[in-house]
Amino acid sequence: MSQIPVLIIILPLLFVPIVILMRMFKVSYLIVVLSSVLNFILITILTLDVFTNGAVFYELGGWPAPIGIRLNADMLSCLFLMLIGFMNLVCVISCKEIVEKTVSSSKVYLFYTAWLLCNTGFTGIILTDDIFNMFVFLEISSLSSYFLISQGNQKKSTFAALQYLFIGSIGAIFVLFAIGLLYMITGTLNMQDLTKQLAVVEEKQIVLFAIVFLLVGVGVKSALFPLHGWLIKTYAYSPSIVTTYFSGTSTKIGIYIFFRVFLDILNDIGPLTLFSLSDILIALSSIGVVLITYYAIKQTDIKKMLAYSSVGQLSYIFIAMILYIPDGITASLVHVINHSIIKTSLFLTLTLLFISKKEVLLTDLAGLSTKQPIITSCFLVMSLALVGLPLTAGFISKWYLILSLIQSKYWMFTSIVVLTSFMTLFYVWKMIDQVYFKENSNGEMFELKKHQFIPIAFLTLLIIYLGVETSLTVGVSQSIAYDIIYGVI
Amino acid sequence: MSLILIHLIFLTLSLVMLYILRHKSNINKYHNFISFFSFVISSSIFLKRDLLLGTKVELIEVFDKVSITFYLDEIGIVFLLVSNFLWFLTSLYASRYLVLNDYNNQNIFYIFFLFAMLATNGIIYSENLFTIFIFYEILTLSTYPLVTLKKNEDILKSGKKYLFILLGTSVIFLLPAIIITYSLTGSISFSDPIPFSGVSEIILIFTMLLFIFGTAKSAVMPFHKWLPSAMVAPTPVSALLHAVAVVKSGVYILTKIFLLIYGSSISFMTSMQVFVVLICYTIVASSVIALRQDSIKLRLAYSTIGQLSYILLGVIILAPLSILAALLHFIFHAFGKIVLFLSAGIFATNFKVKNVSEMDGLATIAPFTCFSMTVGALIMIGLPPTIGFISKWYLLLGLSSSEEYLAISVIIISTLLNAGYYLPMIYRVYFNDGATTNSEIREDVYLVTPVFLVTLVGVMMFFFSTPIVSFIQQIGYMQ
Amino acid sequence: MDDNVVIKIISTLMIPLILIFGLYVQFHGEYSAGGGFQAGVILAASFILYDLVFSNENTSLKLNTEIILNFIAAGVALYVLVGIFGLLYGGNFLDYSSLSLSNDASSGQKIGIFLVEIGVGLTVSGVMVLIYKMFNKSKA
Repeated sequence: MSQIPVLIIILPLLFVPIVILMRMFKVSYLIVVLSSVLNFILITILTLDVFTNGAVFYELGGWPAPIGIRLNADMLSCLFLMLIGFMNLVCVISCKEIVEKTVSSSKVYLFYTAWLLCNTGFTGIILTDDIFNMFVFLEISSLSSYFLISQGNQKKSTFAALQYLFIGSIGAIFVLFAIGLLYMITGTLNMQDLTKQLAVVEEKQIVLFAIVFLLVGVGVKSALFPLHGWLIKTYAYSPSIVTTYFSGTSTKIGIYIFFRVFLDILNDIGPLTLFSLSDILIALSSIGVVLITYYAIKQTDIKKMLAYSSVGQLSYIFIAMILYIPDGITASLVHVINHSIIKTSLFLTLTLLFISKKEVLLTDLAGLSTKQPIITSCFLVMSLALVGLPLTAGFISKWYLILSLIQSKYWMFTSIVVLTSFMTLFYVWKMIDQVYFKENSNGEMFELKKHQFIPIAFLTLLIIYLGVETSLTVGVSQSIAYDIIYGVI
Repeated sequence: MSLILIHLIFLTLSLVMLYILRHKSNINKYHNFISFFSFVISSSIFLKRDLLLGTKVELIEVFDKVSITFYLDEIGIVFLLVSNFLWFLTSLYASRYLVLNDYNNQNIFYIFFLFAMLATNGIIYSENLFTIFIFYEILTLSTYPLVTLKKNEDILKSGKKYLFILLGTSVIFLLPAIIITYSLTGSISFSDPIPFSGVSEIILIFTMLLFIFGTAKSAVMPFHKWLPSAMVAPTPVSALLHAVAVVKSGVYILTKIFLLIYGSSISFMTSMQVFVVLICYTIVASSVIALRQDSIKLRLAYSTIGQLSYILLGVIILAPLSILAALLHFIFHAFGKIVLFLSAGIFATNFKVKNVSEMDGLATIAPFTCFSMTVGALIMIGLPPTIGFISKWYLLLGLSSSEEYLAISVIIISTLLNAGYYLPMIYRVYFNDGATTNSEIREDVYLVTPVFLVTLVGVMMFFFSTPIVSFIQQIGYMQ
Repeated sequence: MDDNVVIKIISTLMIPLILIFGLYVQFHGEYSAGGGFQAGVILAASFILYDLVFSNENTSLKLNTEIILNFIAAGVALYVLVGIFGLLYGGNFLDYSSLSLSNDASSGQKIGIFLVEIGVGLTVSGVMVLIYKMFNKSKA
């Protein structure tokens, strides 16, 4: 029981050598499924424990912090763990045929290895209580994601991976630099210790420098507005299942790091209010949302369109977080969950519909409603959730986002957010228009087997459920938000 | 279990049933039956209203103080009876109309027609702004397939306009307005609203402006364009949904918001004149545009825009007599306009007459339809002996009691304009000789019967208007 | 480099030294400067130097990708297994005290670090050689 935090990280790591040594892709798949299921069970147990009994600390090798390395499972990390674990499980369960068709068979075991390592990296970032270890896990997940992206079956896949490698590495250097600066002025790497040390530090300027470096570095990872270029190419050219997986996890990890750093370590966005940096960031993100939504409307490639949409939604999350009021943080957390589920389900549907297609254009959706009525209704629900219509999960997060902006009296940004959320309808409409009102001209059938309906239908029901019963999302997020602002987490 | 819930569950189950039976050829019979039964339930709700008024049924609490809750109040009862009665008669009309006009996707029509009525009833029963918003959006989405029932390029274009204006305004204006209300008072409930305290007048006016623009279904200019676009729909849809259910939902929402949530906070504000001007502008502008329309349906659509603003004008003045007039007009306009639309549908179906200029001499071959149309037109103009006169009388009384001289003059001008575009229609059918006069075709009896029935009810209401007036006068917040 | 005698002879002298130095760094990691990472790189350097200078069929066969991958995997496995061993004896992950044969915690830690560093060394040297192989392959 008490060993669960570390098991969540090392179980995938334990399966990695087995996958490499076996080198059989059927067995590799089973191992990955086993690992994901076990991982999810462990995460669930840990989460239930944390939610009832409070945060759990785990000292590696029995060495106490701040000298030893520690894992910290509190409500914030458990929320993200549940999200990552669930997304991983959904993707793994539905990925078998997709991987067989897209990745060359001699590299399937390496693909699964990278997948497991990526998952290790994600869970590691979430659980660690040591800011340098966070960087290490960030690199683990990044390096394995470079490999995953490069396995796409398009010519530009390698190029996209390489571009992400360059940009990601630059981001990593910024993160490392920030960690170095923080270590320089406090002499500690443990997050809890850092909080205490930073409270008495004299050199506020250096803290600000560190934060700005961190903002840029992690901003690259979470594809904040001006740093989002890699994400579009990555989503468009990597194997479709990897896109599905990353749409719910990768960028959200960046957001998690922001949460950790701003809301837990600094326990304040204090440094950001210097030179009204937070206002500038909100303004920048707002401009970003407008531009990004405009680009999304112009796309003809669905993957690119949804990628732009993701960047826009991430900006919403960021704006809500920077507001630093309880409802804003709630909005941000709720939107992390809801957007992950909505976007993953959209990508998963597209992936399963067009398994062996390299590029999915809008026109490929034509005639879907006559051939696949059930999938079409699911797709409709997901699209409407992306717009944020009531009774879907998207509405809940939009409600809180607008509420928090109104409470902060940012009328300008409120109107921008409201307008752009309406603009979402334009690109979603382009999909619905194809699905319902266009005839299928090229006569291609959609490759979809019966059992592949299950994850799609499940996610659709989940979207509706989270739009009506919100104690799992809003309830938890609210208690985290109030903890962060009014008490020590 | 509460009758309200029974009604909604009945409609939901019927929807599921219609979906299952969608390949049956006699789906229209099921739809007729459902609409009749829905009318029976609403009548029994009306009879048992003393038990039901004010009881809340909370379905689910979505988050803090925001829940999906149903209840019933007096305005709700009025709207409930009117919409369900007219639904039944329209469904009789529709089952014949669709056959005559060769619609091949009738199953879609009936399913979504029922869906739209479910949403309308949901709006009627909503206890808070959140619930109302949900059903408002459902109503928009469910009427869209009805508008685009015949899929061709033009209709899809109109449909897109319809959807984007209605969804857009609700997302851009209505939702923020609801959230602002929630964040200012902490409550969005109709049954126990929390009054605004210490909120500046500008914010209140701004929020109300958002509400007016947000419920674009009430077709206040400049967000009225969706209504003419929606006229590409089959006539039963235009008649019931775009003269009664959808547009009245918009007005109903605004009425409730103004009377229940904002009423006490805004009654003494001089800046309310902003809205009076806005609404007066809509009344005059829509009448002027209607004058220039040759298409019957478009003329009726612009007339609807003006008439809806009469109701809003009555509500926004917030004087007891004007509110009474608004609620009366709420009922009477529904009867008048649906008759007009259904008559226009008969002209188009039987005689292929779609424009005012082609209407010459129709009275000789379609006497019943022309009589109904005449009654409808008189209601719209507000001439005795029709019910339109009663509501206009009270409206003028209410306006003069609160000394709204601008509004009074606008009403008078608008009445003249109304006469200007309705009387030529009457004149043409009765006194002009047209190409159709000697035609062998007669009006279809299955289409005429429901229309004539509504007309009769409309005429009867003038002579038995006292109970209706006294029922509305009893409503609590009239004082 | 077939004819470059000087390089060949010097390399012949150097490679054993590099190997020994690598192993020294590896085995003294737990109480002096060094450890698996550095040792792994040094060891890999000797292999790479050998392959650069005496490149022939024999070496490419011995250093084939599959075998190197096995080494890498084995290194990771060793690391994780040693870590988990602590769990089985009621300690935390990477708690080496339980590895002791006697009840002496520090001797257990010595063994633990030793084993873990071997795992790290294996993986690091494997990865280094593999990277070299990859670039070499693409050239040819």
